[in-house]
Amino acid sequence: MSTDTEAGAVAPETLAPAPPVLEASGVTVRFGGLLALSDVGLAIPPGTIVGLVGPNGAGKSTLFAVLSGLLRPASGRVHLRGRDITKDSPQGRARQGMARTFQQPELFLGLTVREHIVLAHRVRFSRQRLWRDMVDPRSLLPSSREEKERVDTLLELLDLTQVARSAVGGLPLGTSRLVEIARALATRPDIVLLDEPLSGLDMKETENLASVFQRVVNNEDHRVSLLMVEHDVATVLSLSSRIFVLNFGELIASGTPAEIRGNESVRSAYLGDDDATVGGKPQ
Amino acid sequence: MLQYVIAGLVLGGIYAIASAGLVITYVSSGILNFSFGALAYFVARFYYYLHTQENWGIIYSALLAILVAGPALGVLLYFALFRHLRLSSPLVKVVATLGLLVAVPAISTLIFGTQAIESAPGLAPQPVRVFSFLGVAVTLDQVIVYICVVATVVVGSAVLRYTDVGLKVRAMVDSPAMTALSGTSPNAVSIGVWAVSTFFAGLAGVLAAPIIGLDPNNFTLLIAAAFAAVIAAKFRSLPIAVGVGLAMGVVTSLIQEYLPPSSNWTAEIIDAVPFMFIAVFLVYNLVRRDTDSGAERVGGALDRAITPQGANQMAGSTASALEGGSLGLMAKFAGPVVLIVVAALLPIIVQGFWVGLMAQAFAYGIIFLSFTLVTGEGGMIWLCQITFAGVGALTASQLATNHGWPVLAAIAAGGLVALPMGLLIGFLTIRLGDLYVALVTLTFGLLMENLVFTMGIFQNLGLGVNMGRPDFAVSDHAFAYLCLVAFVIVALFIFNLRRSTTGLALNAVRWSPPGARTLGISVVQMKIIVAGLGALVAGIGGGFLAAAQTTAQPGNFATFLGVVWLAALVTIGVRSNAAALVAGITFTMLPAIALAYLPSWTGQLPAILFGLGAIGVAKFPDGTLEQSGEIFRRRLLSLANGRAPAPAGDLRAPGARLLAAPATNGDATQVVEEVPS
Amino acid sequence: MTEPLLSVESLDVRYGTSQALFDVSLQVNTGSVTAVLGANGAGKSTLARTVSGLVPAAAGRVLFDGQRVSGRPAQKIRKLGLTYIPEGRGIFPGLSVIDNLRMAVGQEKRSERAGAIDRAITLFPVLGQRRQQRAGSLSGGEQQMLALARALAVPPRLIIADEMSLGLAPIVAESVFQSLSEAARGGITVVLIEQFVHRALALADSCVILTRGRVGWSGPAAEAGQEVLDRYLGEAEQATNSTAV
Repeated sequence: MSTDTEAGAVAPETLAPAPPVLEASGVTVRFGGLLALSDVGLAIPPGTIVGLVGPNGAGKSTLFAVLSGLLRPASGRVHLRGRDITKDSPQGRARQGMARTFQQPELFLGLTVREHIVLAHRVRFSRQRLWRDMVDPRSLLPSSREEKERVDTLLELLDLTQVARSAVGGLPLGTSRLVEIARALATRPDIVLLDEPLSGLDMKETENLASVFQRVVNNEDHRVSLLMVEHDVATVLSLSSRIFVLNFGELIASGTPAEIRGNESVRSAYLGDDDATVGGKPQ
Repeated sequence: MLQYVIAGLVLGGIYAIASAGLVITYVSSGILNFSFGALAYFVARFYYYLHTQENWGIIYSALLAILVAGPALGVLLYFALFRHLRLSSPLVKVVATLGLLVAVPAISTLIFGTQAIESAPGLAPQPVRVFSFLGVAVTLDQVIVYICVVATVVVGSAVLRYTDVGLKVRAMVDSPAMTALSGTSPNAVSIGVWAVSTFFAGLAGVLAAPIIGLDPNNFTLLIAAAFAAVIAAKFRSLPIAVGVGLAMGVVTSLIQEYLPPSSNWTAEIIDAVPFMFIAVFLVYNLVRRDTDSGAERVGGALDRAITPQGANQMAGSTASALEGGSLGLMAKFAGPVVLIVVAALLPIIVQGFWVGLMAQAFAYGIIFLSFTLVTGEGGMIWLCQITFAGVGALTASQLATNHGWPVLAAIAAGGLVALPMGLLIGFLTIRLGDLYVALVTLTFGLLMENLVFTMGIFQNLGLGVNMGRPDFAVSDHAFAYLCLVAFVIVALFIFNLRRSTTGLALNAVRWSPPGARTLGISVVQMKIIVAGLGALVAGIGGGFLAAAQTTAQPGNFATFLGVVWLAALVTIGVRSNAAALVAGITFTMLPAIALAYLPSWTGQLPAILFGLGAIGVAKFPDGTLEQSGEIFRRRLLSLANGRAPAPAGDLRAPGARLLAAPATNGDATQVVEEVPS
Repeated sequence: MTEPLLSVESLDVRYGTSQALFDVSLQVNTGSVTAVLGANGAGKSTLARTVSGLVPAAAGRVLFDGQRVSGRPAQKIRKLGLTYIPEGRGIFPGLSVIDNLRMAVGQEKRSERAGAIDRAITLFPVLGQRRQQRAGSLSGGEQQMLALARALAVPPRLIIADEMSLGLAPIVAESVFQSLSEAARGGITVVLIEQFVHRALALADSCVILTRGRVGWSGPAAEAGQEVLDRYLGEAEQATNSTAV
């Protein structure tokens, strides 16, 4: 953590907001002649839920790929806790405290829910076991107490205790998403990038996941931020403390849910109005 | 020179026809038909039966065999197998067609008899007329090949380009879903494509018979060579496949002209030339990075959108590997322990000759464990495990017999020589799709078989090199137990591996490389571990096998024999250590029992059984042992809990997780197929 | 009141373990234009794919002109006169323009095919100049024109057009809408799946809004504008009841 934060002596009105966990600035991406992202920037404060929305083809996925390290931008920078990670691979980012989920959950079909979390925990906290266990029969012994506690806590936090010992194969999509999030959290990240976490879920699953998100960011003993890229603007607005709206590769709005709801350019982006068809209102 | 070109064009023509048949089914259904050579053999054998054994005229025999039996075989196989493979993972596609490759020649021997046929007549009347062309002698058989190639190219391109049928085929290749939306049934088109493909197989077979004789192995090798043209065409382009096929024939023939005729190496090199082509094209594609699994897809975005997707559909029901209920664990252990006890009793019960076979059975078990590692745990289809076993056997016999090493040290050294080869192949194939991995490993096996295993020091004038046994285990009995102990040690190692953090990480890498990467697990490292261990185990197993057989005979490690091994193991179960042992025993004992006690025709049954078993992975990816073990386990658990056994319907569940690729699932939600209305 | 041309009754669709549609019912009257709206992932395309026979229904049924079509394969449904232009260009990108059209009229009598192709080209003359060009190499707008030409060459009874304006320049999208509206005036029933809400509503008589796989609202198109906005962006009261924190 940087040292100049939370210096108690600063007067409230000049209190600088906590430095962002993840910050992107001036991100520009071109695909051939197409400008997919043009000078986009965003900042995610610690311990918050932030939404990234926009109509189809707005550039959300491109920005997500840049943030998660799958795509290198033509220009612009990405910082994780103040460190420039623009050139780091996804694996490298994972080791520095960034985790992510996938729209189509990328789970390990041969493993149980619990094993997902155990593996993530061990990769982060006792990496040498990846190799040592191969020839060490002690791996057959039960987990250490510390590991067991951490895993149990996560299972509890995400409501997965009931299914902890089931294989992930038959789980409903909503539960699969929870497993992915649990796996991500087991690496104790500072930020989790969520790729369309709500798509394909029904109302009940959506509500459940939304309340899990709240629990996760409010969790006292581990401060983490969530950035979700979503199509379901209504739910994102109801969940996030800050929203960034993209359209045609540009950031057209950012702000609190109320600001976004009232924003004219957001409305017209979603209704498909554009200069060429102004006046094409329904009769 | 001209005479080499003319001779080369004959071979090239057969390659061209075969590769055309391979490409059309690949582009329309995503299946590279490894059984093409076997189908070609079947039709050629049928033609020989009609024409030579039953004395039918050439015309009628040819019409019935090539134009009726060939396409009918394709239609039959479409309905019985290929139709169900369309949505299967590349892995299942490869294994199922390999199963066909094993089963078809055995079935044809069962139908047409066992006699080996060294020379078979072609389509020209006997004695074959010989023409003189620019001073070069050309037989009528050769002329017929030329005519067939030209007709294939002309008629084929005309049909594809100008007719409605051709249009529908091209449309289907583009997108089956769009074809259906245009009012054309993709199934109907597929049937036609398979019929045409097996027609080509039959034609290639009948044309090739006078050149290579009627031996299924020769056919399989011939068609394996045609894979080179298919790979050069990136599996998709008919003109390139045909052109490269022709060119390969000519080049092979020309090489023959420029090599010193009497050198020891010449014969070996000529046999290896087609596989060098494959290697060259594979490396070219590797360098150009044209090998993503995208090449294995059929159709466009819409087809993918309506194909069931996502890991979450795959049901799985393994009890937790980390901690299971005590009864669950007991039930899990009971089977293997009982099995090992039974296996340990077998050498006592049986006598003489059979004791020696038991030693071999256990040695096979060790080799099969390498499949369990690579295919069962790693989810990769490697067709060169037998080559590693061969490397282990040949190395061990050299060290033990010619250099006086202690036998066990020599066997271990054999494994250690195979190890780096496994690492290398593993490293080269890391980013390749399943189909490419199968092809690369197949090619490696064929090259080793033709270039290294044929060397004089290994061949020892065809006798193979002697291989001794350790002093303390010279008798068959003692050595059988030594093999069993070695098996148990390797099995325990795999058992531990599977449950350890390493095993969890391997599982992660297998089912979701992207997911594994987000945790910071290196996919490359994990895959290479499996590859290296697989080669090591196969090499050690090969050493034990040689000692059990008392010679290291290179011929016992022919690449396509390895396909039978794979089929045998897959039939019984590729995921469990116990299955490897059962497969070892079955593989050794069944043929011997058939030979000793049963009518001679039953000798074909094991191959048919294993072939059909491998085909069966389309339905039961776990193999039969796992399947029945699962039932047993459930019964036990439900009895303990005082409940009725779990419904049998659930049993399909564990299967899906094993050989199916993460992205697709055979039959969870199928695209609506034609239903009789 | 005449029978609806297309009637979807309590349709459930599942992709593996996740459900894409829940109890969806809707009716499309002959000669009408119906807009199906909803956020991405709401199930619009799944609905179209199920109706057209590409994806099986888990429960419920689909009637077309009084006949049950759910459970039939796509090619049979197409032959009844229901044409689906799928999202992302309903063409064969690997075939030439003329081959694309030949595939579209393949079900007609041989003697009538040439006439049908000519008619399609008259609708979109630019295709006439590109007969031999690979369809995949056409511009986005031309590809959509080809998709429409394929759909209209043999006039169907119902067209389901899925996100045809996606990724098109506004002016090109406009001309695509123009063609659809002409087809509708010509008596073809149209179901429009769209993200450009205002354009779709300008053309439509009635509207169905899908939310997370369910029918969230349906009614006359003229009343749909505010509903859509509410459902997309969520109004204050909706926000509070969906997640009480």
